[in-house]
Amino acid sequence: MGGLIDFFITLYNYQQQKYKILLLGLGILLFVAFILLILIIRTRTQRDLAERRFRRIKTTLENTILSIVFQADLNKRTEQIKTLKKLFENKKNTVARDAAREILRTMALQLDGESLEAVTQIYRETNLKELLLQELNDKSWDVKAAIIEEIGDIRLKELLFEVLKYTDYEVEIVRNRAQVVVLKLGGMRGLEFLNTLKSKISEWQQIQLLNQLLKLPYNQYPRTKIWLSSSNDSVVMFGLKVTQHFQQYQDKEELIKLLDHQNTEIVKKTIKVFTHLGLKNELEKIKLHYPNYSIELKVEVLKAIGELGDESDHLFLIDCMMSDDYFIVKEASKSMLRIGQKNLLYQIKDSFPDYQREIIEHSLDERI
Amino acid sequence: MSKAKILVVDDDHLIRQALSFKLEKEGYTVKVANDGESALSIIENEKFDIIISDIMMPYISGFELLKILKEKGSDAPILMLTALNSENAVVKAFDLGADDYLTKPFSPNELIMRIKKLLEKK
Amino acid sequence: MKEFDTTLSGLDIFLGVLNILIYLFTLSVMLSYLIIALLSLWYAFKHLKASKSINYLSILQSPEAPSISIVAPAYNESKTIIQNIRSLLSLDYGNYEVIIVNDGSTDTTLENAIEAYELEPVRYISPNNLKTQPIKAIYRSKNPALKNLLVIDKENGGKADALNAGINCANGDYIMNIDVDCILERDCLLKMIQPILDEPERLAIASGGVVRVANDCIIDKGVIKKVNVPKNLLARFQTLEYLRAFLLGRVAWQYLDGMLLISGALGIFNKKIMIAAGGYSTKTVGEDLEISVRMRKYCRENGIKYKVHFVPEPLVWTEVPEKLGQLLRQRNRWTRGSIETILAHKNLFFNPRYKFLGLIAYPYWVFYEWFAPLLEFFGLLTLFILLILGLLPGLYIALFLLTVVSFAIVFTITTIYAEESTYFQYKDAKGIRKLILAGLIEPVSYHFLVVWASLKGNWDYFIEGKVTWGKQVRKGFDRDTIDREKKILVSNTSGKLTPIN
Repeated sequence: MGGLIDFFITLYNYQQQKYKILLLGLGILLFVAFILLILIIRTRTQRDLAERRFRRIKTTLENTILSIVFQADLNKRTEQIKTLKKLFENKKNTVARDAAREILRTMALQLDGESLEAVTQIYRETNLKELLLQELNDKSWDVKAAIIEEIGDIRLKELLFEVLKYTDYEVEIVRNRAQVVVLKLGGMRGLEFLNTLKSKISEWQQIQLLNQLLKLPYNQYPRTKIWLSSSNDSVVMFGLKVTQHFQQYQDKEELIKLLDHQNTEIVKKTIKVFTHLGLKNELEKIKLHYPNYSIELKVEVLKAIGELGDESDHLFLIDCMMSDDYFIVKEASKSMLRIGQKNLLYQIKDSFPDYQREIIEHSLDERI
Repeated sequence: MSKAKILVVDDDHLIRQALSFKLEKEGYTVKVANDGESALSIIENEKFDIIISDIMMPYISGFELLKILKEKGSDAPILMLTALNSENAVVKAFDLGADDYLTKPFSPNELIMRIKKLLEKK
Repeated sequence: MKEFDTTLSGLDIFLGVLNILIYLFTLSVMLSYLIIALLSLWYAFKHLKASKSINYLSILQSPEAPSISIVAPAYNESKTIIQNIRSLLSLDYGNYEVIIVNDGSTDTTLENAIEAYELEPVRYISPNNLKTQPIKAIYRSKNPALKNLLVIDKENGGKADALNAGINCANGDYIMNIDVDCILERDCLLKMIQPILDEPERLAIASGGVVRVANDCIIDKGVIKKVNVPKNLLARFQTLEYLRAFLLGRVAWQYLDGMLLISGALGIFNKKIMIAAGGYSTKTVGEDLEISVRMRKYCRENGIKYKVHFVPEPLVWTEVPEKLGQLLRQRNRWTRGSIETILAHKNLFFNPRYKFLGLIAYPYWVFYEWFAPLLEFFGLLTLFILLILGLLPGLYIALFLLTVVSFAIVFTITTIYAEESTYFQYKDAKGIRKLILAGLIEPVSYHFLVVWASLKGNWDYFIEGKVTWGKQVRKGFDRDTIDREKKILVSNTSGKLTPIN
């Protein structure tokens, strides 16, 4: 090795300027290559060993944990958890702890009820809960985010206030996770931040929040009115989703106002909510907007007629079926079927021009 | 009551493990399969009193498994146990003849109750 | 005597300038590679960290999950079509449909699918948002479990045309297009849609995914069971190439708004924008490159604040050509596709209106993707001539080339290291050794093949005029039929269900 470097230095010293630059570059590159190769070999063996060990320990732990989770005798369960605690306390054996955490987390995501409570109990009665707290406060943003998720999955309700601290954390991803977990652990009040929110909530975040909301106990009802009249479009969207899935009939007036909203997506969703709630009496109000709407929204109105309308709407629909737009004709004819005018549609289809007739026949094909 | 035989079809190893653990504890005989295709080959040779199946599995989905089993006239009740929680999926499952539908995360105790009900009905 | 002197000094100046130019270009190439590699690595690690706390399952449990239409064109895929449809139908997602477009196959692709999936023709009139070759029939399955399968049979019109026909019939909010013979990771829809949904301010119009090489990998029931380094040397070189491009190349461009290419093997797009921008172009062999440029352009021109994402995880596996002829033809086509796209959007060139896209990404594509192989060829040629004329010392040239080669090698090793410390797909130590060895010889062997194919592509385009705008480009997809037989052997299932009696 030393000889090689000496040789290189001698070679280098004997050269002219332009050779020196090249030689230097070459030397550096070779050096880097060498270092990288060593790194690859080292990380590979280490990682391979660690992964194998982890898998082995995980398999053995799986049965232990399952027997705890499904242990009906509470005293015995406490005893079993104590043995697990001893295993975790071994400072050298962090692998067992990590493997156990992975198993418990997967179980918490899949199981509910008493089994989930058992998982929570394991976290509480071993040192895992303290570990989470410590990592939450000390580690970098990615670990913080993951820990917050974990706290939520395991339902460690007593850590609600610890999580609450992170709802206005500087890193967005941590903030987002904390918002969801606060809702999960603390219930409806966790959504109050929406009332004054200026920034937009992404669709993904809305899905997370809604999922948690749907899991809350039945005695908690969200108040959607204030969201529906928000100036923040994403909050309105979220409000609409909540109104839909929680059957908030009392928001009818707000919904009617939203039919004039500038944001197409919001109007679209609003019409969907009307349909979902089965607000038949408001159908006329929706139909009034039809002439002013874009094609995309017209299609949505036609869908609503199919769900909410009755036989008396057939003239309106036939009128729409004269349109040259594919989507309008298709949706209008489908709605004809839905309001029970199949026979009429069969009778009149041949009086339409070819293009419209073909689309109507498409709608009549029930296999689609 | 004689021991009822249950087949658990799920591609998640831990779920299989957990279910067979719990169900065996309740006194059932449990077999597991990790996807639709292996489930079909197991069912070919054995009769089960109840089948618990996931929906999203490689190659043959739970929907298809359900369809094939019902088509060949399997009289074992089939309970779908899945993460899919959309109206569409639930409707489709019952449409195809599923006897019950439970979404993950699920309570194992609830599952046991449903299994008992299904067996009684049978 | 005097005259001779001036010519000599003129030559000297010429040589000097040439020398400096070669130097500068080489240096700028290296530098740009380094910057892009660093950005990519930084992003890949960030993504890896962030995804630790993402609960992908949540979208399955949500009633508000967006709908996705998978559009997969098929041309003469009779051997694998049944199996491929089956894997597409069992992905992890709730709200999605699978649209197979049979682009006038001359074999039994359609018949096989009809038989295996109990398809029957239905009356289906599509809105014809995009013009395509005539559609012969549209099929749905009689099996209610396969409600989300749609098979379109149409006249042959090439891959872009087939994709457009599929998009016309798609009901989803998002279009995901894939090569039908690719092997998808089962969670790829979840992984691809997540960043699109998690974009609060801007409109995420598309997302690309990492393509990896599937040759010699063990595939079981449409799922990759074990990742192997290909036995075939040519495929092994391509493995390195794909690793480099996806791990240390593409990812960075999402910062520079210039990830121009979303691979045809896996990409997810916002349907509205895609249709508004005009769908796939049937006039180029590089339709996947062209569409992503046009969608950006459309957004920029219409004042839509957009974002194109890239998921740095390996999500799709594809068979790469193992025969020299196939490889050369493929690269030739890629080159022509790039040239066509570049020339079709000339107005982007250093156009400040298009911001990063016009100022950085497009010129980069021109200089470093299109010109680089040309310049390399002429650079080497001049060096060679100079050597023969004795105007430059051989040792110097050798040293210069050696430095360039070792840069390439170091870059490849860095890629392997990056792969090791992120996704760690190649579990065999032996495989990694093979990859490193291939990396050592690649710059002096395989690399010249690629340069050659690219030169040939330029020649074919400009001199022979093989492909011109406005002309029907090809019948069928001129993706070469790769030894498909093998894939079926690897997998232990035939794809067809045998009913139990």
